[in-house]
Amino acid sequence: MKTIKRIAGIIGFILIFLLLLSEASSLLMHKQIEGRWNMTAKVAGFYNEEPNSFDVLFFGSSHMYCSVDPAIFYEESGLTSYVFATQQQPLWITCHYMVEALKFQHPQLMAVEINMAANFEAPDYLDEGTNHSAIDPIPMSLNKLRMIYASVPKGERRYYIFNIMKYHDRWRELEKEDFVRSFEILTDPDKGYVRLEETAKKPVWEDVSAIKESKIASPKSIEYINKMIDIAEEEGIRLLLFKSPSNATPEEKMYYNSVGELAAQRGIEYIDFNDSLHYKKMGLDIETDFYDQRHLNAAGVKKFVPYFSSFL
Amino acid sequence: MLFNSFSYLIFFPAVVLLYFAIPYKARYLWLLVASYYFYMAWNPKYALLIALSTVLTYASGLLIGNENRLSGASEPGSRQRRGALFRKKLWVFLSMASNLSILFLFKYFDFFIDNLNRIIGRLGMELIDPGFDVILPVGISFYTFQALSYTMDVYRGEIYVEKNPFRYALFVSFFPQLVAGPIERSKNLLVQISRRHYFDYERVKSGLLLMLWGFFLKLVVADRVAVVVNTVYNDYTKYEGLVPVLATLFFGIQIYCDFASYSLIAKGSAEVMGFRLMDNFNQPYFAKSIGEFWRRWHISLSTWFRDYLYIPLGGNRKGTVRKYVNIMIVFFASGLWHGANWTFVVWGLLHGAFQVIGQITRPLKLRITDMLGIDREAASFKLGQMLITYILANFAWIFFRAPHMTAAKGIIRNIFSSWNPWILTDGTLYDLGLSPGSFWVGIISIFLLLCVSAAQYRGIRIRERFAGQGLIFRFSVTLCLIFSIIIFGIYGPGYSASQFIYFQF
Repeated sequence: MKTIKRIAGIIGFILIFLLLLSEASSLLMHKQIEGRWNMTAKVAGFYNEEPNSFDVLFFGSSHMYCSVDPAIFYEESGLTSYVFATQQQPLWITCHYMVEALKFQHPQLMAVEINMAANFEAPDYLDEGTNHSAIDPIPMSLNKLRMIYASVPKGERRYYIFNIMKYHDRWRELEKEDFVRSFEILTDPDKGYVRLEETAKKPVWEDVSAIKESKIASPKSIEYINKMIDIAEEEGIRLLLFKSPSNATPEEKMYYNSVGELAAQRGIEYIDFNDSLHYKKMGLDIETDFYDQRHLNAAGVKKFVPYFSSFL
Repeated sequence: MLFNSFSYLIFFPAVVLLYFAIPYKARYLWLLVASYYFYMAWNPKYALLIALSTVLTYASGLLIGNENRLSGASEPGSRQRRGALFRKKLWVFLSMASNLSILFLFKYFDFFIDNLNRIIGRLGMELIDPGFDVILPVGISFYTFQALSYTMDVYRGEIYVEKNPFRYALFVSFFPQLVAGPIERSKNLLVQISRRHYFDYERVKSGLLLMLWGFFLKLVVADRVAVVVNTVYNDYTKYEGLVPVLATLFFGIQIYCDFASYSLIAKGSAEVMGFRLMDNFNQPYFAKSIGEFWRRWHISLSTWFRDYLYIPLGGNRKGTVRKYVNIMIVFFASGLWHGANWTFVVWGLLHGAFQVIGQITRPLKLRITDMLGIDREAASFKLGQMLITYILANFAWIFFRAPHMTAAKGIIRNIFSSWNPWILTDGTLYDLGLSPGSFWVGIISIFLLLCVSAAQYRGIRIRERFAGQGLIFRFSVTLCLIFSIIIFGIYGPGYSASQFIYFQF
């Protein structure tokens, strides 16, 4: 009897501890919930959407989330969609985002923006800020653990598994919203899209259409694109790899070409919208349609989305 | 690995679970493997050194034991007996010489060469360049002293000769107290290794609670006040008046919490597995004299010096002058034991001098108090004594913490160069590395520590009382302690909002 009581006590204690730990972690976690880059709200909002309610899912980094507005996309194609992306998201996180999304949605098409395949500066691991903003809003699961193992070097993974180790010092700056956390029950009205109104002064544009050479920036990215292709094949979902218009430099173009080659090898659709022909056809204007050198603004999105949907 | 590391959080439960799961006979071997793993987590090569110390003292035990047998079997005063006694002393000498030589080489060689070069330089001769660097292995001063105590205790016949080399190796390397004490005696720890330790739920809980309190003192108090101490001491020329005073008082708290917490975690870890380690700290800042301070501070070291240095030197049996000289020798050695730097030597000598001066002036003190009709048993008088002792101990800490003598002198000069009580109210305190919130968390924690210490000083056994309380109270307090460590502890990669602000995409 004593033993049973003790075991019950231990289990009870552990349960209360875990409950409090989870609550404290949510409270202290850094949240991006305001303004245009409210990535925490956008990622968490995805989980509050109706299951199996999207026809198309978009994945990728900032090049993704400021290139497609699901509202315009719906007007053009009649298809519902969500942009499930975070800033500078490396493709190994994108791959796990895909697994995560497929737990709740079964779209007809998945489109992956492959800008991060050209990220040659930090080939295997990205900085903490990038990793935390992509990983923190994802609820704990085996897939999240795999995401952490793929994205974070050994010795730092514990700070993502138990992110209170990272954020415990935030008690000094807690605000009302940290306690209320309304984003946990709300959906994102923009469905993951980040609207950028400003116009870049003078983006540089070079015609890179003729460049056929290819270079691999990060073998790890290629590995994870392959994995995404495998997932899509297994699930029987159409997959499209694309590069949104970003005034690519010749070097970037070569990195993108390596993804094009991989897609061709594996029989997957691939479009690089940086080719001058595409710019011309959608009527993209360097002077008015970019937020900065590499990202479309809202005006650009209005031209890009109708053109993009015609390919789908 | 450190106690306050993520690795220990995994290592310790794993070791304990397996420890209780395997048969009694194999348990000490498992602890030996775990202890070596624990030590090798710093640097696998260190294991060779501790193994060498173990072999040397183990062998000395066997040899001395052998001579004990021979001398016991022979006639008193016979040649055989004299030979045996001589060889016994020889083995003790060789064990001491070899172990202390290793300690000297790894801890004091650089210091020695530096000082030698200073003298040689003055004489205008060519400086010595040994051509290699020695890295100080973690905990070498602790386990060397522990191992040596065994040789001496066997010599004195106070402990049996341990025949089993693995049991003995565990005595030297027992992971809870391996790198920072308490420096155990074979009389206490070695005998426990051969005993059976049962799983006792109440004992395990009590050990875990002790560990938790240790983690609180380390992560919430010591590492927090350390921020202020480091800010001031690393840039000591910038601060004067009450700022270095505050930093020094904080250092007194830091080193106490750091060191005592290590001992508490060690004691708690051992207790979970059924071992009883000695108390290493007993409210030292409530001491009424420096002598008493040393009976309460790092007790395992001061008793080591008492038993193996002070008493062999003659202690207080050879007259007053010799007693004072012996005290100074012991505290010189203690200073040097704490670190190979003149600052530690001065710190040790100061503590020695405080005691000698205290004893010399004692008759005068008695006369004055009698003349003024002061009641020496009054609580207020005792409080005054505590305060003076506290100030003296903290003054000595300046030398302990200062990176070099010039810094120590600079800090003392700066303390007396200005009277600036406004720093307490004008926000200066919040510019010393801690935000206002964090600063006050520190102050509240110190107050909590003070309350706990005062209760313990008055003989209240807190853990026993706690265990007698109801479930809800115990759960609540334990969870509060855990979460104050998790939230207010100083650990982890740190967070700054700027890490998340990049609009360059």
